[in-house]
Amino acid sequence: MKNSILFLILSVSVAFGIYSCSDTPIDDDGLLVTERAECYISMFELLGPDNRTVLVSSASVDTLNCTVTGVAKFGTNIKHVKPYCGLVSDAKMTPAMGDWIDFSQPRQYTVISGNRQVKKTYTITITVQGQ
Amino acid sequence: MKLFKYLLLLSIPVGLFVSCSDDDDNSGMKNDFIKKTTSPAIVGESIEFAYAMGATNGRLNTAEATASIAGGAGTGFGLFSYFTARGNLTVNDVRYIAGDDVPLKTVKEATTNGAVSTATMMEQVDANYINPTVAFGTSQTDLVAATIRYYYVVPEEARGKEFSVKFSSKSTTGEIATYQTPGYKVSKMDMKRSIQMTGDNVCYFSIADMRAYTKAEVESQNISAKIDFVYLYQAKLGAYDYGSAFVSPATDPMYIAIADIIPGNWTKNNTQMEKRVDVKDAQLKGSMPNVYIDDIDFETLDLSAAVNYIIGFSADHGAFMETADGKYAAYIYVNSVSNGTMTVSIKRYPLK
Repeated sequence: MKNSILFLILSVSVAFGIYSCSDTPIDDDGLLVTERAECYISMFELLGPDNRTVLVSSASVDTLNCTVTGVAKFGTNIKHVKPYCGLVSDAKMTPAMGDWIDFSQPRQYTVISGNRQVKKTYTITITVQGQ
Repeated sequence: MKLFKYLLLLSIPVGLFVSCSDDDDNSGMKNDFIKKTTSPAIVGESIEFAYAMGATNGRLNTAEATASIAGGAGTGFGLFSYFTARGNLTVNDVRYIAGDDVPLKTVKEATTNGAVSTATMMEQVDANYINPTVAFGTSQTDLVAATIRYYYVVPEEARGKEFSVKFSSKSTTGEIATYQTPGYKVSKMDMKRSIQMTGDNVCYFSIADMRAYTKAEVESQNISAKIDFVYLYQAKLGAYDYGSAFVSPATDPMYIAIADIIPGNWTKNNTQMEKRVDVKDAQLKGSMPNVYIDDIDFETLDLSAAVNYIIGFSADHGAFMETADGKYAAYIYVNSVSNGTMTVSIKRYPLK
């Protein structure tokens, strides 16, 4: 009798745990899928090997035309830079930023909303002073 | 039979414990050590150990350190121990405040012969050293315990190898304690500090020689093939910020602020380089924090995406470089810089 009650309590606990997890689904990257439909880049930064910005001033983000433009300092090795950005809450980006990359040509990144229903592809263009 | 097996198994760990022990529990001497120097062991640099010993019978008599590879000139025991001042204190006309390390002579004589360094201990010292409740300068007592310094100057023979030190101490009653340190890796790096450069004169740097030359020196000695980078200063290049820069002789002229700084008939070495801002090596900087570039940083260095110039140096900045012939990797640290003058220090690692 005692074992049966214990088994029942454990079963209910496990079932409750599984049920409660189903309220917060996660995507293939292990990130929470929420109800947010907003989908945009809020800021963009580009770092050099010294872990400092290579941009002369803040990059310009156009959320209507989905473009980011910036100017890198004279002498920047634009073929070896590391981008990162800010996104609206719960959104994610593909491909992921944070790796060394050649930015001598415009690059495209896709922002995906928190509910994973909206996708917007941004074109990021960086020019270097003197080039 | 089964009991015999258990006994045999039990005897193995017991045997191991006994063999690791440095102090004989029945001995009247105890000893221990710490390695105070945390920086990489570089040839010519001093590695400091603190060796502590205490006698329960008699006084301290001698201490000995035997290095696995004989140290360079300057290797040996120091003459002083140190204690922490508890308040204001004047010793030998030097004023100390609470917390200061106060030197006290505990070694009568220190000698080094080959790999063996010996310290002959004082018979008596100020009683405050043994018992801090006794006011300093009021009485003397037998020297029964002390921590002394051993300085190992890394010799050329140890480059790229390991060294260790076997410490031992002996009391006046003949009892002995010993301590074998683990092995310490000696770096393959070379280091040179405080190299003065000027943007319009002593500006041609050779990593192989770890020094800077003037144009006249380079030409008279015909050593342009040894010049890896040139230090330049110009506030602006056209409309753009330039400041203090390193360019390799093969750099695109659009990044060279002074047009004729590299004569056309010189060897044009294409030195790859990459700037760092947060790598403030304590050995090159000469002060805290205790952050060091070590062999592994050069062994894992990848400059395949680097360029051959860097613009805009400030003090504490630096650059990893690799010479065009692939012989050396180096880190050049900027100790100080003002308009047209720069002091740098270098760590250099042989790649071949």
